[in-house]
Amino acid sequence: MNHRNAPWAPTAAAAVVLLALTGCGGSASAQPADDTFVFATGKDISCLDPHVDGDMPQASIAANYLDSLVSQDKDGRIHPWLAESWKVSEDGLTYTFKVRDDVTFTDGTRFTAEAVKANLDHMVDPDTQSGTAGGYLKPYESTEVVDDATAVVTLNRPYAAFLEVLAQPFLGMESPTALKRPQAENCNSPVGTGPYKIVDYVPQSKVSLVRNEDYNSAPPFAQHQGPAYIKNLEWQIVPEDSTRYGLLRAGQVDALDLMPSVHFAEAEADKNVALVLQDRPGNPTNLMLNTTRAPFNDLRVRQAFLRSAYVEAGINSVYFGTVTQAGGPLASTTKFYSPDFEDAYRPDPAEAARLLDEAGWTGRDKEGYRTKDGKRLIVHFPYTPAVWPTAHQALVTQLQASAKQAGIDVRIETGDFASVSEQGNNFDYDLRADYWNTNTADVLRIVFSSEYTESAGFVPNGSGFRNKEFDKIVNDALATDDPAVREKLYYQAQRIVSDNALQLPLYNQASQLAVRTDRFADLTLEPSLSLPYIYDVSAVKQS
Amino acid sequence: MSVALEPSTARDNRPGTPDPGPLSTRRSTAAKAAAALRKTPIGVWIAAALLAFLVIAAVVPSLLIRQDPYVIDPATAFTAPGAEHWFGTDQNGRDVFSRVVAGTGQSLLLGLAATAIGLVLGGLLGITAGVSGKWLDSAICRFVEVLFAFPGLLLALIVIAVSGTGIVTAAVAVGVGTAPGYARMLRTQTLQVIASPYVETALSLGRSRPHILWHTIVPNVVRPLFVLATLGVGQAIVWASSLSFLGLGAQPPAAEWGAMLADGRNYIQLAWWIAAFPGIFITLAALTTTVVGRHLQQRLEAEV
Repeated sequence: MNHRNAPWAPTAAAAVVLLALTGCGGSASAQPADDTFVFATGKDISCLDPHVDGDMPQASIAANYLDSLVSQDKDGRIHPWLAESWKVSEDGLTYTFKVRDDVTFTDGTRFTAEAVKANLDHMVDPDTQSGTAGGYLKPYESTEVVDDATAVVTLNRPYAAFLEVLAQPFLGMESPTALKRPQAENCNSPVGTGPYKIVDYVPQSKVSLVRNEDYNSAPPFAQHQGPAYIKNLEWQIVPEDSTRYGLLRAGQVDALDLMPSVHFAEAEADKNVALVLQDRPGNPTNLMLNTTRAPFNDLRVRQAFLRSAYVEAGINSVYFGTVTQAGGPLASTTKFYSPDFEDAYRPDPAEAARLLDEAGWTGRDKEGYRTKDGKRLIVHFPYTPAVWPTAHQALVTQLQASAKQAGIDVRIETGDFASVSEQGNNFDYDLRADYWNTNTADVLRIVFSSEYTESAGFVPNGSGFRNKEFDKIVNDALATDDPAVREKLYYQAQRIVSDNALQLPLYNQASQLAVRTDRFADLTLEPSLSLPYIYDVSAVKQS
Repeated sequence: MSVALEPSTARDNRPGTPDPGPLSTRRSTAAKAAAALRKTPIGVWIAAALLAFLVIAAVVPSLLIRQDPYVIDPATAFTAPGAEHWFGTDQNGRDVFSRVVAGTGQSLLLGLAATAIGLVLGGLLGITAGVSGKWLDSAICRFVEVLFAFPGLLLALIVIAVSGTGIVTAAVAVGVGTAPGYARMLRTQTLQVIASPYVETALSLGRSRPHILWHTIVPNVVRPLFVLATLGVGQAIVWASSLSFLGLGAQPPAAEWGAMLADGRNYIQLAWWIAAFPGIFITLAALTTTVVGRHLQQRLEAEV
């Protein structure tokens, strides 16, 4: 899951922000009724169909209107969902799925093996521009529909993480009838078999969903069967941190995500508000160093930059201890995570200076920046503040200042989402703000292997790192089920990433929800990506 | 031309030529000026004083700044206003007072530059429309009407969308955003001047058209502009701050009022001073330039 947001026109976005700040809309003046749950998400949704692009806000809402082929429990084990059972061939290349025959999409289309094929084909279609789902499915070859209930999926190489990624809402099953429509239309009104269905979407404002009365395919991690308890679900898009939090405190929304760190203490003291916190596995929030061009094509300059960064001080001051600092290329909750790389690049100005001297950046200009052949050491960092938490914006400013101490001129170049992501997909940057949430250590392959320096949509490997030894290690790790072997291989992979100073790890991604407890109960997290799951929410009995 | 600005001629004041006329004119000139100053409302004086302070902050910030506005110190983040930090510190431990002062120059310069760009663009369009007949006039008018369909700030955002972010583009963007308004005012002004008796006189005296344009029309059209510009600067400062607020103007870590306001808005419950002081200064800058500008405009109108 890349970090992206709506491909909004900058003008429209800015205008909306302005309106949101200046207007005092009266829409949410009254307390919502008992049969409507209002969720406020802090990041705009580019396209409601999570196959397209593939950012966290898409998966969040998808978890509430799409079902997946398989499900995952809290311990990472895989269970049936829309697929009742499956068989994997000896060589790991063929998966035979038996799917349920009693499930119907909310547009009336029946769920069959044909739908499995249509969905997987849709995700890998270059026109879908699927950075996330399509990225996960690079080993996918084809699907053969044997009969209505049997789909045979063929891969081009063993892929031990296949079922795990299938459990993510990014790879949820959509109606093949709906998928045939033009992409823009499907983006606004995708159709699933899930507990809710989308009835209205006002971009950059809200998505209205209503309960699927015929729902009969709840996953094993759900706490009940049949239709959801709450009739209406309103998914508001409120990027402004303090506004979103204010709405929750005022009781105008029932839950929010991206809980602003500055308000944690206050929320914890409020007896009507509960926090739901869960660190996510994957590649932690980081700054990716582009190794394909100067100055970061020089390992010593990359190491010097990492040595210049006082991440811990920044995190403590602006995040108020609400996030955990990340050490290496894997978030600490990821299976096969090794703590050995946490201190690989402790802040060390003397070492940074030594490395820069060695790399030939020995001159100094009158502003104190290092130079080589009369040219200043400049690091370009295109950045869209609107899609990052407030604290992240402060953190990157602090890192800019600490890099300046080392003589590195980090230029934070703020831009609208569209132009920044275009630069991001074309290696037109030196630093790129990133993260990748996924439920497997295979994230190393996606974020650092050669294969992922190219993509139809978002380019996952923002470092542009190409290393044959590394590629072999992470692919070998997919070809075996032996945990001891995989652990060893993933250890080597983490070491290579760390040794090559490909990214500056900042902090672990986390689901940080705040929920009002006075009207509704049982907002849970779906286990694969720890996303808010509304299906089991019920109204609190008023006494 | 007003009486007050009429040059009094020294020739008539030679000793021994008792000619009370010009002498009384002189006296009344001085008296009128003094009276005008006395009549100036106290609010305008306050505005002028504040404006003077802002200009000092803009021109010689080193007189006022006590700490480096760019040095971060996470350990002292969110310090409340006090003796050490008059306006407190921000989320990165930077001194808010120093940053507000450091941002004055940029904000005022942006306001002036944007207004100048708006006036020049608007002037070219408006005067051209006014002096040229029929189809060109009508083409320019339609074009300006199309621009008018967009709110000014939206027009500025379009310019940013096309040409990218940054402080220079922000100035151009705001200038372009204000240009249609100036263009329309200047066209009307030009038409009035053309219809005036002195242009007719000039024509009947056989002056060439370019001569009339440059020596008669343009000066008379442009003069009221300066007052208009003072009024415009306040608006331009607010717009430029808006662009920076949206992350489309000044780039971090620049101390720009709009950007500081944007930085501070999410901390407002914890540390109100981060957003409040830049906000107050945006308001002050816009208010003082507008009050002074309006006063000048009234003076001018009274004289004309």
